[in-house]
Amino acid sequence: MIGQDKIFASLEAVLSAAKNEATIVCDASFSGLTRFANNHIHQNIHTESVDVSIRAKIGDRIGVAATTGLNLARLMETLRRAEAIALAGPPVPGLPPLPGKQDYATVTTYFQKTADFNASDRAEHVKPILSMSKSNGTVASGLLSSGYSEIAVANTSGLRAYAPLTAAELMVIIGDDASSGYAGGVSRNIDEIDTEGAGRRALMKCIQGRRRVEIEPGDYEVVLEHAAVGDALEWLDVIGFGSKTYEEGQSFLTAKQGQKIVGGNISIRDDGYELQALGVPFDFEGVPKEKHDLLKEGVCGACVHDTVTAARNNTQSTGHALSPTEAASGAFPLNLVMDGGDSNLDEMIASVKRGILVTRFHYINGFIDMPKAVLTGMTRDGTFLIEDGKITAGLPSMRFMQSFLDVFNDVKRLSADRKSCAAWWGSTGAYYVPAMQVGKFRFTGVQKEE
Amino acid sequence: MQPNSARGLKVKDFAQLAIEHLKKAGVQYADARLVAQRKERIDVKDDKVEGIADQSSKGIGIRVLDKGAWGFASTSELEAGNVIACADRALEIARASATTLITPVELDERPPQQGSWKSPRTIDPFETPLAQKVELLLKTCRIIREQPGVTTAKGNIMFIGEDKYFIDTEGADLHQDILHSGGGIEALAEKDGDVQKFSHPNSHRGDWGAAGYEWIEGIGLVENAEKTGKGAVELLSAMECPQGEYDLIIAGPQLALQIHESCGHPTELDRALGTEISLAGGSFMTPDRLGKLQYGSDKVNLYGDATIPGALGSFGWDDEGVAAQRFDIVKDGLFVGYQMSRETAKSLGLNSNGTMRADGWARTPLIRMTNINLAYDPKGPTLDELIADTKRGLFMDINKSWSIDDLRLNFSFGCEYARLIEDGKLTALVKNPVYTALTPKFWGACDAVCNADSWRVWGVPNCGKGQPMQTARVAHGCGAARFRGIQVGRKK
Repeated sequence: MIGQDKIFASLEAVLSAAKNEATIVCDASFSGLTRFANNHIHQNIHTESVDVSIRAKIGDRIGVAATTGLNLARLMETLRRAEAIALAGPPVPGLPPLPGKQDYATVTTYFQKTADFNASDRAEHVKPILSMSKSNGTVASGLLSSGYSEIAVANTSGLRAYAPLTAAELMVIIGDDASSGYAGGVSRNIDEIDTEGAGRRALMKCIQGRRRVEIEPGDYEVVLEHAAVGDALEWLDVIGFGSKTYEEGQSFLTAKQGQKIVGGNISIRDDGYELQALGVPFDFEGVPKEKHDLLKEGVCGACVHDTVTAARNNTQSTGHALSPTEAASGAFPLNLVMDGGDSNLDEMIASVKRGILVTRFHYINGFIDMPKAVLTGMTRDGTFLIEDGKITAGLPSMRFMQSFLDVFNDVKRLSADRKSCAAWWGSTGAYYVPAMQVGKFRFTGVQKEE
Repeated sequence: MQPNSARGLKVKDFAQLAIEHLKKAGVQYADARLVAQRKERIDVKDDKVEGIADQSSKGIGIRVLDKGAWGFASTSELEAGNVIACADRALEIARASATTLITPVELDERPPQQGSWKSPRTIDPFETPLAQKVELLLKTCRIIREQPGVTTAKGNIMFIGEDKYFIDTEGADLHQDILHSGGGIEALAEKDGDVQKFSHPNSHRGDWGAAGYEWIEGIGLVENAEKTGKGAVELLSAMECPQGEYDLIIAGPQLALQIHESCGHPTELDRALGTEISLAGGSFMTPDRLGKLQYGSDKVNLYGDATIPGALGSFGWDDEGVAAQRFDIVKDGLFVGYQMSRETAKSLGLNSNGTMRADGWARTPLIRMTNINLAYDPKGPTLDELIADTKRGLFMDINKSWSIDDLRLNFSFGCEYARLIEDGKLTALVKNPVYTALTPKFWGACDAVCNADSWRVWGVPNCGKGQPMQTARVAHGCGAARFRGIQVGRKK
């Protein structure tokens, strides 16, 4: 851990030399990831990195430069590069002044045990999964990651934001020639990652799916487990919940603020204060995050913003700026939380006459028809046939192509319990979602060779 | 800062320091990669600059094989003490891995190489005035927006320079100076909730090559801006993609991604051996099917070649110090070869064909595509002749969406546009075209591959793989090809 004082001392040395407005973001990470396959650890890595990006603002011009490390000379050179870029680029009309000192709510983001967890600890936690798999004649694959990072934002207007973050992620797939099962989770607290329990769940799914039947593609009632909902939500986030697609008219939310577009049981918000969504209370401009309703009881909320997108839309930042080097991607919500209901997986399955249970999705793509929120992808690692309220057989992985506006208009049940699902951006966010039962879901193909 | 500043700072000494330290520790094998990278990215939308970012990154990645197990550690803090600590950590991690070992890792035999390699370039993009680069994109966006009906115009360019030293305990000592450039433009048009997109020269950040700023000058952004804007607007009034089985002619930009997903990834031997299951899955092209599986028709010849000058997937040596090379993957439709690392090749009794690459200093190398190409048919038709030879079909171009299952069998692709082919002629414009098939059936239905006239290499700058995610820049050489009786359209 570098520590808040040392990081700010370095950043302030640069800011004090800045002749114009400037914002500096430091992301120092110390992380490990243990990957296993074929019942043993095959990749095992550790990375220490200090990434610093500087956004210089000269009047209504912006330039961004980035480097690694806290070496003062290198940081000064990076500031000069950012200033040179700002001077060479065209103006960005309407830029507001940099935000000044802010107050931040206290959010739990750091667990010492997660930070201290090392490669040996990870190996010890993974071993029971590997043993369990070997003794059942199956093959275990997956990962266990752990580590910490420090995010600091400072600017020439006196803003200082700092958060130490820890995160741990587990992914387990246990399979054989006939079947496979998945379990996983993500948390800031390694103690909440139940490696052995996840191994047992993945193994159980694998065994349960061995009696396999094939069904024709078509419309089926489905029960989507938490991981499947998280997978879909990640893509809906990419195509619809950020400012970029919203402003370009590609989002399914564009120009629909205040309109009811999906069922009243669907509420999704961004919540930087939710531990289970790996919340961080400020964005990469140091602006406090707003709890922001994207869909509330089926009704469209407003677009999220950073200071630049807010200025051109005559509104205020909602605290959703990305790193300065990713500014072209616009504002983006990283901590999506979906409200649950009062049901549970067992009840959902019991209520299905003939349908499909989906453990998770694979390789979703949402660029087919973004305004209609059409996603295609495959099911994976636990697709089951439900008949008369019972799981009766495993199914091969199946392709779906489905508008999720239609899905969200047809949600029959939501689970009371919610789970955290990892997002690809790591320790700064996750999806906290329920399981759901959907009346009609379109499958268009099956995984097979001929 | 120039991308080759690592040399100026003599940071190569840090790699040497790490390797000497690990030799003394008696490890089975170790390598150190010291990488200085510079990226410049410019994004313009309409009349505004969305972002200009100039990123420099420098660090060392150390890989240790000890008692048959791997460990990897990396750091951006290039001080002698940190580098030694990083090497020790890599060794500790290898020892942690060894506690679950089943079969000790062995590497193939190869004579260690020494030398340096530089990718071709004429104009240094980092020395090209920023104002010139920005104005190019603003101008293209102005032209796109002049087309009535266009709602958004976008342009991007990006340059990535990488200066890399590789040293290992077997005596390899390699230096590479690699420069990649790429860019593209895109128009959006919207009407009554329908949004259509048209890109040039390709979607998903355009087209890329191992070149300097001359690459940007050569991809015709200004010259194609009007066509790009009009293309998006015309799609608004185009017919929806029909549904059913059609003969499909796929143009180069889309066929490149088709090769990428349905041939490139499934023939990575690490995937085929199950070591990528936790992210993207395995492969139906398992080792027991090598030399036996009829992957496609006899028109299908696929090969890897990291020696193509100026191609995005070319280099001097991979990140295990194995020289760039050409190798067959599918020969006359038969599956004959994998992309391999030293470890995976040894497990099949073969030698690496030089495909291990890492995304910068902070990641461990994985098997990555180089330039994975569909050979042109010297006796094949031109594209015009192929269209003229097709009675009822669809011509599809420019990727819009992509999805494939975890064994690389069932895929679905969407394109930005298509045209109907009726009695040998391109007719109606088609929007939202999609097609879906099973990989061996699809390539088995390939009855014509165009000749050299339409063959070129397409750069793909964003190939994702691994955990943590790594991005690789790869390429695919291809022309157009025809596939008989492919399912197109979305089922209503």
